[in-house]
Amino acid sequence: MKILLVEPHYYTRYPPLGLMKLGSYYRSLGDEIKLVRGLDELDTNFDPDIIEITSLFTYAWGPVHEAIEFYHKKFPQAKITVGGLYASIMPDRLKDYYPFVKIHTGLHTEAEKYVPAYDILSTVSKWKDWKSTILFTTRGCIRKCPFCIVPELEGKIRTMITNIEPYIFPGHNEIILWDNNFLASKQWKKTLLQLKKSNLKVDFNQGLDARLMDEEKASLLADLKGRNIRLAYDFKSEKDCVEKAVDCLESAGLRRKDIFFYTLFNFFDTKSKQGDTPESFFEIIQDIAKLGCVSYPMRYVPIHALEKNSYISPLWTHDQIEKVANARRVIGFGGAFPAHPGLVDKFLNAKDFDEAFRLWRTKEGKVVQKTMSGLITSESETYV
Amino acid sequence: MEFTDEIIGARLIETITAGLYDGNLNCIREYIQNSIDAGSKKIDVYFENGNKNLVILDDGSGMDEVTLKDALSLGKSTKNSSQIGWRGIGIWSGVSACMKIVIITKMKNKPKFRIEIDNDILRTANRSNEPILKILSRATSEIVQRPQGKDESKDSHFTMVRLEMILPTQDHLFTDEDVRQYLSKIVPAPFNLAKMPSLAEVEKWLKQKKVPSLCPEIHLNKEKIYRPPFSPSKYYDVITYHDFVVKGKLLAVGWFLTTKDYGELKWPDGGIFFKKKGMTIGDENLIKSFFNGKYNQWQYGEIHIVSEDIHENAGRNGFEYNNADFRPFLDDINHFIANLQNLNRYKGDVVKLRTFKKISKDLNEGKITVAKKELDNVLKSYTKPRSYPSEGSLRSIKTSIDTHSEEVKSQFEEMRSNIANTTEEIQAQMIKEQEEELRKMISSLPKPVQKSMKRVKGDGLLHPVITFADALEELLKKKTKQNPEKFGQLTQLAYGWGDVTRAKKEALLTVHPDYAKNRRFGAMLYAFYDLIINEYKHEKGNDSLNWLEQTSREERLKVTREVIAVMGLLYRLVEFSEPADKKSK
Repeated sequence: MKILLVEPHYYTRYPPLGLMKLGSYYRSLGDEIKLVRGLDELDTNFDPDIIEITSLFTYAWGPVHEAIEFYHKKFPQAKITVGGLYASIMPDRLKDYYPFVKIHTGLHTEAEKYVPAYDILSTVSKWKDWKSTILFTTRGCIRKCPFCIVPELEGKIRTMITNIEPYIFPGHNEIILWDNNFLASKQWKKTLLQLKKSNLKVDFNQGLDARLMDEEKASLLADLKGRNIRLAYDFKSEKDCVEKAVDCLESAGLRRKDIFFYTLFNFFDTKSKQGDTPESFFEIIQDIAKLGCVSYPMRYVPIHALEKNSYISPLWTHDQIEKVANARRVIGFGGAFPAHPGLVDKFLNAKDFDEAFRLWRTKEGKVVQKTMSGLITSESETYV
Repeated sequence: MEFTDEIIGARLIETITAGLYDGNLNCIREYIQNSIDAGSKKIDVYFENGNKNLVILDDGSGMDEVTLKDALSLGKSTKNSSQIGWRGIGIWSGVSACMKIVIITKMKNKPKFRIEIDNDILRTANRSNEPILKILSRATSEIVQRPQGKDESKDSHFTMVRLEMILPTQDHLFTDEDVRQYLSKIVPAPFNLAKMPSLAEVEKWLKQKKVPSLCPEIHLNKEKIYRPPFSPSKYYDVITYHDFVVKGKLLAVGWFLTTKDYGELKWPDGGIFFKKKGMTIGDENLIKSFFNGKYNQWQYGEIHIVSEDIHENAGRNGFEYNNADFRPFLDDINHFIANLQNLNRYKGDVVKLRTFKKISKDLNEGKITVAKKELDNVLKSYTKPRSYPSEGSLRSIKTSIDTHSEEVKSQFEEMRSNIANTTEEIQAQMIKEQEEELRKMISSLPKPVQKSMKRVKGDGLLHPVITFADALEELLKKKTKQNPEKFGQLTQLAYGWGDVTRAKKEALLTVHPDYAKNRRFGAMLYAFYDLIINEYKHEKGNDSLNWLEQTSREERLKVTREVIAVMGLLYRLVEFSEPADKKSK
C-alpha cells in the first residue's frame, strides 16, 4: 500500500513528529510512504491508498481544512485520516465539515513505539536540513494545571522510552525532549545519564517543573550540553520553589542569565473563577528580574480557540495585553525579558504594572529607548 | 527421561541465534539464502531511516500462512538439500542484531501476511527461567493478513524481511560500506565483466563443470553487487583451473588467479573462497585454517563444492568436519594449497620483485655502490636452478611467470649498465672539480711560487714539490744572502740548527723570538724538503714517489693539494722571517 503523509502548511518550528512515527509504522507494515508539506502536486506517480493528515493548534485549523479539501479532490479514492492536536480537541467540528474523513484522537499507540522516519524529511524543503532528534521519554503529566490540555489528551505520566540510545538518529547533533514534565519521570536519572553519554546538545523544550528541582537533578542538568534551562513560574504560589530551583542550578554551575522562566498571563479558570491579573503577572516578572533570570511571557490561548490571540481574560484589558506584547517587542529580546541592568532597574523601580510596561514618555520625563547596544535610560531624549 | 517444556530454558534461544554467528552481518547471509531458495531473480537490500533499519526484499515465491509458520519453526526445515538454506534457523538469525524482525510476504494469488518478532523480549527473557515456548509465543505476533493497495496485483509474490532498529552495539557493523563488502564476499553475485572481461572464461568454465549458477541480481541501496576480482592489472592473464578429485569422484572445482605483484593480496584482490551453490562458506581465512604450513595469499580463487557429500556447518562458516568424505577432501585441498605455495615460492624466486624493489629504492636514494653489488649478485643468481611444482594444473601458468622473470631480468641488466655509465660520469665530474680546486689553490700562492709552477704542465703537477723547492731555495738565498750548495746547509745557516754539540750558533733569520723554536722550525723546514725531494733515495735511484703514482688520479690530486698547502705555509713562514740581528735590536 502507498501512504501519503501530509503536514498542512501552518507555521511551526518543528517537523511533524507524529507523521514521522506513522511513517515508520507503515513501513513496518510493508507499506510505501511519502511526506509532503502543504498542498503538493506530487509529480511522481505516487497514488496513495491512505492519506494521513496531521494538525496542530486549534487556531491553525485553516491549513488543515485546505489540505483535506485539496487531497480529497486529488485522490478521491484514498482513505483520509486526520490526527494531531486540532483533530483530537475538536473532532466533531472536523467531522461536521468533512464527514468522509476518519478522525484519530489522542496518541497512536502502535506508531508511538517507532523511531520516527527522519529520512522522509529530506524530500520536504523546509525540513531537509533538520538535525535534531525529538523524543518523548514520557507521556502525560503528574499535574493537572487548569490551563493545560495534556492531562486531557495524554493522562497520567508514564514512561515511553527507557533507553534513548536506539532512538538517537545517526548524524543528528541535538536531542529535543518534548516530555511534558521531564523531572516527574520515574527514569529521570537514568535518562539524564544517557543524555550526558550521548554528548549531544540537549533541549528540554517544554520547560522543566521548578517544583521538582533539587541539587542532584541540577548537577546532572548542568553536565549536559545546552544553552539554557527553561522553567515555569506561572503562579505566585510557586515563588519559594522557583527561588530554590535557581539556587540549585546556580550552585550546580549554571549562570542565572541562562535560566528562562515561562510566565503565564491572560489565563482565567472558568471553574474556580480565578486567574492571573496584570499586577500578579508584574510581581512574577519582578521576582524573575530580582533573581537575575530571564522571563518569557506566555499568553494564554484557550484550548478551543479558533483564532490566535483573540481571547482576553476578564481580569485583563486589551490595552494591558497589548502593553505586554509591545514591551516584549520593543524592550525585550526575542520576546523574552533578559536580566539586563536597565531592564531589571525598570521593572524593580516601577510601582505598578502600568509603569513597568510603559514605553512612552511619563510625567517625570523618563524615557526608555532601545539601542543597538542594549537598553539605556535617558532623562533628556524623547522617544516617539 | 522425558523432556518437558520447562526443561528447555531461554538460554537456548541465544545459543541458536547469537551463538551461531561469529559476525552479526552473517544474519544477512541467512536471509539472502532464503531468498535464493525461494527462487528470487532480484533481491533488494537497503537501509532505511539512516541506518536504523535494514530491509531485504526479494521477488521469490513468497509464503502463505502455512509456509510462514513452517519458516518460523526452529531447527527443522522443509527445504531439501538442493537448496542452500536447510537448517531452519533462517528467520531467527537477526535476533541478535536488531530490536524487531518483521516478515511481510505474499504468494502468488494468495493474501499478504505479516508477522513480527520482538527481539527485546527474547533478549530480556534470556536471563529468566521462563519456559522457552512461552517466551517464543510472547515474542512473536500473530500472523496477520494485510490489505493490498490498488497498485499491488493479485499474482505478485515477494518476501520482505525487515531488521528494525539495529542495536546501537551493532550499528558500526551495519554501514553501507561494510554491508556492500559483506555481500560481494558472500552472496552469489555475478562477476563485473565490464571491469574484468577475462572472467567470462571462468563463467563459461563453471558452466561446463555444471556448477549451479544461482546469480540473482542483488542490489544494495539500488547499486548492483558484483563479486571480485575487479582489477585485471594485478594478475597474470593465465587462469589456473583445478579439479579436486578424490577416489575418482569430483568433489570440487577451483579457479585461481595469481598476482603479478610482490606481496600478499588483500580482499577483494586476494583470497581463496569455498563456495557451495554460489554462496561463500566462511571467508578467506577458512582455507588458511586448514593448511598446515604458511600460505602466502598471492591468489584470488574460488573452490566450488560440487559434491553433495561435503556439507557446510550450520553457521556456514566452516564444514562438517566429522563427515567421512571430508577428511580425504581436506587432504586433497591441503595438497593443492601446498603446491600453490610452491608455485608462489618459485615465482618469488625467479621473478625477484622483492630484490627489484629494494634495488630501485637504493638507486633512488643514491646508494649506487650498494645497488651495484646487489645487481651483480642478483644477476648471478639467475643461473641457480629452481624447482617448479609438478601439479599438472599449475603447468600452464609457468610460461607467464618465466616470461615475467625474463622481463625483470632485462630490467636488472638495464639498471646495471646504467650504473656503469653513471659511475664513470660521476668520477670524471669529481676529477674536474678537484682540478678546479687545485687551480684555485695555486692561484692563491705567492707570485714566485706560481711562476715557478707554471713551468710544469699536466701530470707535472704531480711533482710540484720540485718547483716549489726551487722557489723556496730562492727565497732563503735572497733572505740570508748566502749561497751554499745544499738546501740543508742553507737552512742551518738561516735558522741556526745543526751541530747540537757546538755552542749556540747565530741564526741569520728568525721566525720566532725563542731560539729553540726558531731552530726547530729550521729543522722542520729541512725535514719536509727532504721528505718530498728525498734526495738520498733519488741518488740511490729509488723511485720515491712510486706510491703516489700508483694511486688513482683522484687520489693523486688529493695528495698534491695537501702537499701544496703545506709547502705554501712553509714558504709564507720563511717569507715572514726577519734577519736575526734586526729583530734582536
